[in-house]
Amino acid sequence: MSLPIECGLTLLRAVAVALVACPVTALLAAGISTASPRRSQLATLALVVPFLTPGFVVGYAYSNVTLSLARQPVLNELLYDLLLLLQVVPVGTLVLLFAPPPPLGPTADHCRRLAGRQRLDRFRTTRHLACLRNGELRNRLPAIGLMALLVFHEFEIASLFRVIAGGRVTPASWSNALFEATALQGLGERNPSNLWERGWLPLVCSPMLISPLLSLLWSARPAPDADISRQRPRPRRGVQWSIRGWLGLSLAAVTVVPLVSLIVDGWSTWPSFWEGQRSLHSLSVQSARSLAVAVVATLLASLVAIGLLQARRTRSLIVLALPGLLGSLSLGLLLTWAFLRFAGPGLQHTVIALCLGESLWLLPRAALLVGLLTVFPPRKQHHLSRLLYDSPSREQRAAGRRLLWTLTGKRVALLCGLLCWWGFLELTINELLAPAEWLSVAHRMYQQMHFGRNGALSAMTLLVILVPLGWITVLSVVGHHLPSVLPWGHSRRPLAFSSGRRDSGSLRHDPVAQEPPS
Amino acid sequence: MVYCAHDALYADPILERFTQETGIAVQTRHDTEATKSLGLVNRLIREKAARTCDVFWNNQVLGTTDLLAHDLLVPYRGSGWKRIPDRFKDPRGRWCGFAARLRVWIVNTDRLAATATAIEQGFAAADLSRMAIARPLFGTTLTHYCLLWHVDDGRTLKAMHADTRRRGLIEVAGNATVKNLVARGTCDLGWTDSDDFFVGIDDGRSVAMQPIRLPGGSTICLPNSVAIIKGTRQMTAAQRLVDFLLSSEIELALARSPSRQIPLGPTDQGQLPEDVRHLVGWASEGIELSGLTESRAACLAWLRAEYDR
Repeated sequence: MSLPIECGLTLLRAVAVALVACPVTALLAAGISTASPRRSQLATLALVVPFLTPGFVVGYAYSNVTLSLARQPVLNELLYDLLLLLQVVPVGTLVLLFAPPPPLGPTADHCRRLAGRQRLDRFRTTRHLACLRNGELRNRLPAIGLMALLVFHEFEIASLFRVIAGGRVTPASWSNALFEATALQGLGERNPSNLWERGWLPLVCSPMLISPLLSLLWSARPAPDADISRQRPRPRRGVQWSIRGWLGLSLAAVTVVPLVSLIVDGWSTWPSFWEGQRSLHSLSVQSARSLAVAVVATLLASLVAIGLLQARRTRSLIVLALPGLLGSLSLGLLLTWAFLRFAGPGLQHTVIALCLGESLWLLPRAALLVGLLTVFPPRKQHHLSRLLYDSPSREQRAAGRRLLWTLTGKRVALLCGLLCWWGFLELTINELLAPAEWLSVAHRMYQQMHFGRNGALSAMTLLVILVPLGWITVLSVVGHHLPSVLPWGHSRRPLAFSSGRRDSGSLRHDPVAQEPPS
Repeated sequence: MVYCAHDALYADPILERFTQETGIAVQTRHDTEATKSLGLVNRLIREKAARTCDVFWNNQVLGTTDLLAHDLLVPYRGSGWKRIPDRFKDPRGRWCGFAARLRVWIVNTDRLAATATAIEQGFAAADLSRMAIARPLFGTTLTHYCLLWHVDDGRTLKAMHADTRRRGLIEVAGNATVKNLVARGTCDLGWTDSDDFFVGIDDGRSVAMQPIRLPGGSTICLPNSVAIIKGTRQMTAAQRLVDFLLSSEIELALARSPSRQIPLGPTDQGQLPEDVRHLVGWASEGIELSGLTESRAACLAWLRAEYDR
């Protein structure tokens, strides 16, 4: 199957999965935003964990199932689509949760219905399409676009599921096809423009899919007083159970089953694995290197995102983040082309190229996280917490520390932890840009997964996943002490991505955030 | 730095043993099963201007011989090269074969008798959706295809390829997956390599094998190959590793490993496992692999066009 056809089929799947996911995201967003603070936090956690589970672990866990379906390509495709659906629904839900409320809320919609369609059609701004555009659709389109983009770029599971039955490829995946072309034909080696000739179609599709989100970010204005969530009625009991069922299903299918299968698979090999000092040492060295690259990329991406957001240069940030939004393969190929074209092959496989590629890939995620996690609390809250922390009273100091941790430390730790997690487990940029000795440990695991499942590989994969989790724990511990030294939190104005919904979402449960300014 | 196309599962312990015995640290870059050896060959060609690889351990000969055309290999005729028979090495010492595998039919014995007749009937069936092969774009299946191409400039191969696809042949990422499909009973038979077949045996699966025979009756015996990459700054260490890999101890170790590779140089036959002694006879019937460069290029060009349609 040719690359354009595979690209078309991948796009078709991406749009279909995103459209199916859309009502689910609306349901989940409504449920989470109206739940009690405690339940909302738990639901958000259950929602996010499947998205954070690495695709190659999911693909590896289900590789034997997909083997059994080798002769039933339709079932194979459906299994793949289901896994994708479960993985991208959290992203769409988060977009709906954190996006600024649309200009036409439920009240306006109700009034529109009361007024009657014929009467409103006389005015351009109240016609059906305009109302749709300014109503729920305004936030749903970016959610659909982002979910479709993620499905469009997925390759880890596709690569492990890929079968040709009677000449028919399942699942179709442009990234796998392009990657194979690069490996097989050395695409772009002799003539860098070959990369453009073969890869232009996905490069065009990606901006199309992300454009609704970019448009939303571009036009978003802070609306500090809005708090739509409280105006919504709580979903009915049946809907609540559906939400719980979905969260349980996605958590079980995408996270629990793969992790349990790794543990069960590797159980018998753990003793011999620990005895093999040499392989353990080698794995530790590789893990440390991968973590070092991930940390450098995290710092670079975070600092750029923070700097540009604080300076309110949103548009510069969007332009800079665009290559990362195109997906890791597109970004990797773009950088490969740029290095071959402008710097010669000497720079292509270097740590500098790797860190640059990973930073650019992480930048849009860093920017979104800085905005969504409210990494910078308002100046007044931070100042009051600092005063409490500097108090001579021990109890008050402890309370101040807790507040500072909640306001800043926890969020910085979460930001760095999540970025490191993604950076550590990234595969494609590693493949295209890493020098051999710096090839990430996750990439090595992924390579071996193509040989089929075995106990040693499962044990090693589990260990590799634990490395960034350990790092996140360290960050959390450090984060408890970080607030006292960080100069952050003195932002005189809200960040560029600030929105009313954000205030009513992530900060809704913070004790300080809910206090009226004194 | 060693670029290694041999399965990490089997290669890493050998390289670790080298480090233990010599104190020379080895870094390894493996390739995926899907792009096996071809990805590394292309990478070596791509890195011509800025080389990082010192030794290339390929899991077959084709691919390594491609590097000759790019003038990427350094001649070295050490002690290891001397013990390998002439038909498995470059006379100038730019590459040398060792520890071979066979291309074999793998059969699920619960579903099909592992006899030449039953396999022939299975392959001729109208519905071929219970037979699996690795995609022929890469690895040993590519070599297999090149040998079939060599018979009559691809005429029979092209017809066979179109016919098997029409009958629903399953193509997967690699030979290990073919083994898994047959061992799990999803397919009845398939083409794989002898090392992958033995993984199925060790897992206690109901599988058996028969050597794949080309139209002339020859078997397909595929040695590993090793070569030193031009521009290496670790020449002494690279030479020591090449001699180490080509030694009878390592050939014996690979024969005794789960992959049961067939020694090419003189080895104490008494120390060979029963499984491998069984393979030695078939390996001696192996077809000559030299002179395939043109066929390989033509076959690969056709395959690229075929899979990019």
